[in-house]
Amino acid sequence: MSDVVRTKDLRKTYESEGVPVRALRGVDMTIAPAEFVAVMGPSGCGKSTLLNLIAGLDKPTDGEIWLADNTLSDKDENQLARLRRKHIGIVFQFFNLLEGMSVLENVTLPAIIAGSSRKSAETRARDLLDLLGLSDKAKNAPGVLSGGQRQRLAIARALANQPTLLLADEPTGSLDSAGGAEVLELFKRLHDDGQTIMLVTHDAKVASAADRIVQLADGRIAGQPEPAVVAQAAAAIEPEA
Amino acid sequence: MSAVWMRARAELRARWRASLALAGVIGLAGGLVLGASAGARRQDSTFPLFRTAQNTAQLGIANSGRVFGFANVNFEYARRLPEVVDTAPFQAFLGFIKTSRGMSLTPIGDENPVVSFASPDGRFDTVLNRMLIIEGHYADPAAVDEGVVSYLAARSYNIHVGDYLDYALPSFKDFANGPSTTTLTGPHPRVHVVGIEAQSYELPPGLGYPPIHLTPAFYRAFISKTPTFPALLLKLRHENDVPAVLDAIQKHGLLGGASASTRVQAFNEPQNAAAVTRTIHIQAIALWLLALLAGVTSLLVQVFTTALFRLLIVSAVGAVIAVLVAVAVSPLTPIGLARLIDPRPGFSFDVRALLVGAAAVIGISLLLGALAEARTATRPATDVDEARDRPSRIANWLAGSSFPPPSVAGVRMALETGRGRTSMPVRSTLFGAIIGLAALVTSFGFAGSLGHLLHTPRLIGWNFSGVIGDDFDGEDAARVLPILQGDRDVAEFSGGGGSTVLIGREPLNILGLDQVKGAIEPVILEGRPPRAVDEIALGTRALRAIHARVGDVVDVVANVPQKYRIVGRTVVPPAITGTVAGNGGFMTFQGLRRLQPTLSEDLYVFRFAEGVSATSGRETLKKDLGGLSISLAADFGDAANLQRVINLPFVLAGLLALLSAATLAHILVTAVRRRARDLAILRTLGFVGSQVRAAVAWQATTLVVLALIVGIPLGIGAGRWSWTTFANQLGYVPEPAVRFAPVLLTIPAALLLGNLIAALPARAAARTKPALVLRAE
Repeated sequence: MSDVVRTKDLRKTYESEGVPVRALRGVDMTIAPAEFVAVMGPSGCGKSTLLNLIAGLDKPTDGEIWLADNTLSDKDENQLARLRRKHIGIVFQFFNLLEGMSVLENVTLPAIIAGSSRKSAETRARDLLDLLGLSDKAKNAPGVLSGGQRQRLAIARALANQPTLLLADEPTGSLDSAGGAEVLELFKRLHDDGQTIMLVTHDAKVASAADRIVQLADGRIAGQPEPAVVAQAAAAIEPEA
Repeated sequence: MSAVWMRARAELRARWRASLALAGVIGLAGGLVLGASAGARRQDSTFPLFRTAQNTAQLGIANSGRVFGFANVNFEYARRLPEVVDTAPFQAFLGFIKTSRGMSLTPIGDENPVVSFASPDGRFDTVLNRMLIIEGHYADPAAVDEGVVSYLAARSYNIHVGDYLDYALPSFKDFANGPSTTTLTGPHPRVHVVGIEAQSYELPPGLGYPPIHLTPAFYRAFISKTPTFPALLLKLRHENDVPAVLDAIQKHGLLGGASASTRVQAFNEPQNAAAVTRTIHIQAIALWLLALLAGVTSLLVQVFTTALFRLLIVSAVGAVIAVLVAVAVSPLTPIGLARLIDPRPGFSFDVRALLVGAAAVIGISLLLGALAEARTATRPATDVDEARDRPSRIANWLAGSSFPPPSVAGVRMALETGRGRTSMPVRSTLFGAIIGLAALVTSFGFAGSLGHLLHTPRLIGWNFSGVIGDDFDGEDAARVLPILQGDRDVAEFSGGGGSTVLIGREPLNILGLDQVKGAIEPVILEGRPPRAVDEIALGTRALRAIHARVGDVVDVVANVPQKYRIVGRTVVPPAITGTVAGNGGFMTFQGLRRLQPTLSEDLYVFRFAEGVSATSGRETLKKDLGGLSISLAADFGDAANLQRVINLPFVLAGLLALLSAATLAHILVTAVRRRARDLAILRTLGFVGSQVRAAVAWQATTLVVLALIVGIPLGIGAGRWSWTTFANQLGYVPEPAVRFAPVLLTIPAALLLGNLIAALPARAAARTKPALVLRAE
């Protein structure tokens, strides 16, 4: 089985207030099917840029990206959007839910956009809400949910089209520790069920939940530390309760 | 203060396009408000200015003599009256004219009537009643062959500067035999038209026939060769001296002694001016209405969407734009009749008014912005969130009915307020769009009804085909009656006459009519026609003036005071009563004779039989009646002034449409900016560019459809109501007419325009990089 994601000499430079910022300086990485990869690094190291490029939300300055055997560099915005429907689910730090819609509609929408019938989209959405413990909130507005519930809803929405790759950008960043742990546990469960996941975080403890960690620094891959080692290091610097 | 300034600058930098758009909309709306209100002030002030510039004489008297049923006045007596401060003599020449474009004009006849005036000293029309030259120039007083034509004659008879008029004047011998075009043995001078003019007494209802002003040289050359009528202009100390002067002349200043049955042929300029003022004021009201609508539809809506400190700068820029727009549109006012007589046309720069207006634009914008902020700040946060997060039922229904995601997303964007930075003033946006469209449809309704009025003589009171008479004696009357009875073309007719009576202090021209053949009488709006000799029907304006209503009993005074019961409200054609529509009234001729026993029958109203054309019917009657005046139902009196503003409602509609379009454009641009996050999320979920564009198009379509659903019925109702009120005020038959074609055309036009306007913001939304938007969030 070929890789879900492969990048080759990926570079991205953008301008910020007239100054060129080299966010990625040649990143080569792969993500295999059913793999759970955490991209870890300090703020500004380029990890979110990498996620956006893989999601097709942004275009690289140079280099190549393959997503499920599709090269992204020759695709226009619309083709990228169509690829996203099929292969990508994204979870953001700040949830990015559609507040005007109900919980159920938020999960139904991606499948409808991808061409599913309303009925089958709703069936799948209800299954997901059930799986994520939100079935009793189906008719509620996202605004009434807790932070953890909102992130679970965002994950449900990301899974609506059974994506090849689930991308998560600091998914625990705006949650308290209990909410963060709950979400991490969910990612592990999904991974156990065979979901390929790429998670971006600056938090070593969160990263250590992954199979593999890619350490990013100054737009380059600085190493691939063992998750267990990272977990140990994270536990060592964590203040005692 | 510096912190606020820094924040404002940062906000402006970040949102300069939206700020500029908002300033533009505030400027456009404010400019229209300023321009329209300044125009309304200008409109109302134009006619008084014109009268002052003209040095208007309040009274004109003519000695056309007993041949035409009038008393001759002793001019010397009139000149010496204490109320008279200045006079100017002139003569009316009975010139038959052939224009250089082949049109035949007759002196005070019933077909293409004109009257030609010339004075011995040139004071008439250059010192007193000084002409306003609209085109060309004054005639050279020493030139026999130069003349200036009234704008009414120029317009009605297609006369232009540079044309010539071939006169055929009757000799004294011709006149003794009764002049006609075939027997004119007097001089045949040619007069070149060097100017087109306007004077107060020409403005409808006016004199009734347009004048041609000839020179003192013409006067000297022909006064001894052709019969003329002497006339005199009297400038009085006070406007309201007219009744006293007329009364004194009637009692003591008639040549050959006073006579109860002979009237002085006089033109009461202040009475005409009052009617003209009313007409012009109606147009001023229209401009005030435009100012109000412009304010309501856009200016007031926009500011709710903007933070206060940014609004300060934006509204200041908007105020500057408003002043520029107001100055730019100032040449568009005054409108209608006032435009014709404006002594100071062109750009108007009323510094004081503009400064006050600019301050008002800023002040109102800030006040509304402050109110909006205060409202948000004082409402509990939960209430705000709950209110704003309420999903749209329509959008939910569409979503449940498997409508495509872009349509559901667009409808949501249009109808759901959102929260925080994404919030949109949905209610005020819809309110603005509805008011804009309703105003547009109201304008169509008003214009349709105005057009209907100007094409339906019945609505001005012409409930018959025409009228014969008003200038013949008892012998003529005896001749007319059997002719009308024997004419198969005439299906119905009534006979009678007219007289001026006093009810309270109000002089009213009353028509007395007795049914002779069939049933024919003026239009009755309320109650019934008078049947008994002590019954009267009065016009709407007349009833208002005497503070009476149908059912009241009033004292009517002429020679003998009598009591009459008002049994109806009527519309008598202004051309018959010699006043404005809605004034005057009618009763039975026997009833009128109770007041003036010596009154003779000198007027017949008739209706042609079905299938008889008015022109051929009149020709037959003319042949039989031998030169008696026959007027067909075409004289609209003061309503003719409305012809000049028939396009005004469409101009209003266009401006309102422009304003509504600008409002919609601003709302869409703002919505796309504020809903950028939602659109970016949809992009991450797989929306392609065309779907984003479709969502914005659906947003615009939703706003337009809702505005159409509510605005069209509202506009139709408002159009009917406003026309009925307007027509009732003026005393016409209030018969609103809805033109469905423009209303129906509004639907696709509004949808098309809405989608065209949405195209640019939609394109911008489709190009937005979701990664950038979500990173910024």
